[in-house]
Amino acid sequence: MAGVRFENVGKIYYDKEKKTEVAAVRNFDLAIQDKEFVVFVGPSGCGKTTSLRMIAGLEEITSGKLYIGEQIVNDVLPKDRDIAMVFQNYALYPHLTVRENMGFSLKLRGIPKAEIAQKVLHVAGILRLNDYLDRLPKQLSGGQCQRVAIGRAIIREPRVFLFDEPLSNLDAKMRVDMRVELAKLHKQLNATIVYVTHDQIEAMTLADRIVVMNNGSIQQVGTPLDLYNHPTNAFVGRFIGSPAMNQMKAQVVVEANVVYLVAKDVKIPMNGQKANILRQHANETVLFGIRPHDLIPSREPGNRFALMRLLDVIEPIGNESFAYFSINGEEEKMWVAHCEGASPVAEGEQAAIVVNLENIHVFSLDETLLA
Amino acid sequence: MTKGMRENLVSYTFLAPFLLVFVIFLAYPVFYSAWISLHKTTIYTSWYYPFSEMKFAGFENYTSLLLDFELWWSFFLTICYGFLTIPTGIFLSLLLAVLLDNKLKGKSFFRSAFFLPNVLDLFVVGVIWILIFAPEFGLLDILLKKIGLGAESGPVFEKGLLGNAWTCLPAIAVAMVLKGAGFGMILFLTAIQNISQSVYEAADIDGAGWWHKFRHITIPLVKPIILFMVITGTISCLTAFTEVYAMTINTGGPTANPFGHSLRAANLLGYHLYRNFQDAYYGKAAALSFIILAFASLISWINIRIIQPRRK
Repeated sequence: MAGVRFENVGKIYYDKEKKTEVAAVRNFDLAIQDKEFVVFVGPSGCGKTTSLRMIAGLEEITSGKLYIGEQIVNDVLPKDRDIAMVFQNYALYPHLTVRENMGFSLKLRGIPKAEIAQKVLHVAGILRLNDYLDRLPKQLSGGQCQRVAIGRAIIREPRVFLFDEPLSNLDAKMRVDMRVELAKLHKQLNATIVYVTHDQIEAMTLADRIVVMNNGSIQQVGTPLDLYNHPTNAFVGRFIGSPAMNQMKAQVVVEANVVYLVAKDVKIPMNGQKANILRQHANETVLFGIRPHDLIPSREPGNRFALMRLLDVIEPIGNESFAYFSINGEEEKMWVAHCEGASPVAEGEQAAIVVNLENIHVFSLDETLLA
Repeated sequence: MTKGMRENLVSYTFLAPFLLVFVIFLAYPVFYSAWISLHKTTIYTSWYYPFSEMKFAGFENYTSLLLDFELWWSFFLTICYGFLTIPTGIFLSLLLAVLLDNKLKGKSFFRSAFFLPNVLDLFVVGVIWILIFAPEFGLLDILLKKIGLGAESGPVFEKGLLGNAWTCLPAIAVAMVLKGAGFGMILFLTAIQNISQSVYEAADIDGAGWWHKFRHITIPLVKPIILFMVITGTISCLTAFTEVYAMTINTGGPTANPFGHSLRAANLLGYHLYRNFQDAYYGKAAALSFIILAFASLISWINIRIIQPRRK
């Protein structure tokens, strides 16, 4: 096992059609610890897969240094990096059986047949593939294919495992099952894993640490809860958490020594440390965000601060409900509120939406965190 | 009329034009040649109506062919021709496909250039190669002399490659392999480009070098194309006629003397059939076509058995 370290790594493509250079990854600095499970997450085209492929050696590195363990691997061929990778489309060898697929890398290394057979059986046992060893990939379901791909990776006991969106070709139920299996597998293998996904739920549930990327650069690195509770910019706030954080532009207004965030018909008082910081930005336009879980629809707000709104749509999930209401007088601009169990207010009725003022996130217009 | 019957009727209506062409130009000639193969011309046969005045001969045409050493000589030559053209053709096509399956500059030019000979008629290609192989003034002779092979005066090859019993058939094979390689290249290129790039990447990571990837991924995944080329190559060897006709100027090549028989060195089965036809042995020629069909079926069956043993 080994850690992976990026030192100011960059990747520039030449776009033939536009005849310009495009930076896929910029100033990438990250130290992945030995035995850590790190997830790269971000929207399509954010550079997360490119970064993973640079670790694998499938993409050239334009600038900076990449270490696996203590070795600089910029110019090391994939086969000499001692890494294993699981691909989104499984990339199984279509003409080889499950057994041969898993044993292929060992065969190339000249390991004796008996030893290969034994290792294949062992790994097949871990992944519950024993009954399928003599099948060809086309005779397997998507989930089984992905288990074979994982088996092909773990049989080699490499220094680092790379997963490139391994669950995105599976159906929803299978995805949840495989997610749990992967989490178990990580505990079992005690291995360094770098995992790429665009699904923030996968990221939240699997990662020791999450790296949120956008437009080729790292937005924030941290534990799942850290990112959820303390996003350092508006993008991370929007990207992590489901449903997404409600965000809106507002004016900072100080009236009678009280700091308010004002956006048309919304006027939210701020208090504590956040108010002190915002006081210095009086009369500026800012971006503020609040998570659905910090907006609670109720009948009686009591002495808590609440917005009075008509609930347009209610989505009952069973154990919880999401209530959608329009904000700022704009029909298309919907905010989401959340409550446990069934909503106390019915669809189309007026509700008092209690705002948890402690958890309002305020960002500047360039999306960096203010308070 | 039930719905099923109506659907059938519609289907057959649309198939009718093809069926008509099939019956007139394929089915009928096949049965007619089977009928002819059981007949033979005699001295009483009118030259103007040969087919209507042939005499029933039973299997005489077949037995006389099978008992004639010349048929087996032709069969042997055809097998030699197959071994000369099929493996080399496959090898060359695959080599070209692998070379042109990358980011080489001008690859589309090379792809078209290698494919170009396929649009030429076999006869034209044959004539061009006669000019290349000709002694004294042929391109090959001139080039070999330029690099210092052969005497100052006189040709490098006394009667030219096509005039020598040992080199005639291999020379024809060279011409045909070079003509056909472009087509094979296109087939292999299509197959190779259908292999997912991520499979090669997985192999990279699994520790495979260039050779391993070629040996363990490319070759097994283009195997259907190899099988296809072996089978079509076999059939075109068994029916090879135009190239022999053109390149030996309708002689069947120089004389060879296997086991004391004076026979032609490029007298392949297809050409042998044509010679029978040309000499007005219509019944024998038709019988030979059925013997060739039997050979072709047998060899294709063996090919499939050898190349696809895993088939269940």
